[in-house]
Amino acid sequence: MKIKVNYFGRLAELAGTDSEQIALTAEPDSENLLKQLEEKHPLLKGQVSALAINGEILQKRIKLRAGDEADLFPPFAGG
Amino acid sequence: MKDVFIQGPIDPEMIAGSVAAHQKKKHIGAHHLFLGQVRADEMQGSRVKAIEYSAQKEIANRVIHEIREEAFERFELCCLHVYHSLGKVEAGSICFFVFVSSGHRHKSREALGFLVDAIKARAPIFGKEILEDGNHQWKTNK
Repeated sequence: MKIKVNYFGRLAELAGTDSEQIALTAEPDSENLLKQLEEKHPLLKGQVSALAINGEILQKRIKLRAGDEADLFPPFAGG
Repeated sequence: MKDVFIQGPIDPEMIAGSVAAHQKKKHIGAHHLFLGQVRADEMQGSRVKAIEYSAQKEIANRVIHEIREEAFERFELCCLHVYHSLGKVEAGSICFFVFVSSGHRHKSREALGFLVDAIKARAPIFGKEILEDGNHQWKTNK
């Protein structure tokens, strides 16, 4: 099952890309997605401050479906 | 939903024009404005030349819309405007403009503090600080 992942701000530098398709290897949920991304890009470990799925910032673990789009954010720094 | 983002710096003429445009709203007794300006901080033996802003625009616009609604519910406001830069803004230029108007100063002053803090904390906006020596680092909010 594939989903699209977008990296914002500093995370794009740490992942070495702005965006990529990821084939989920474990039970498809938001926690496992983060775990898989941190394994693929070890520099991301501990740097992700928020995760959004299909434009909604998550407050808790959710199940993922094929075609979902994930946004990974470092700490917000507007202003 | 309103798009709060402006490409590049916010023009001071636009800010003055925005104040002038409210002169016909005669129930307003107080305006409070916040103007965020890019600061030439010294770091790593160099100095910040500019900040390049990026955002998840769809989420940021929606979050700011929700914060606006909260402000209208909590404070007695006549109007409220928010603008934020995207892309490159040189040190000394304006990158964030919040404009609150009310019948009386206490409400607009309180609302302004709430809005600035909430937008900084809750909107997915990021800033890459470009240094004079060509290096960069990522802005963090204190």
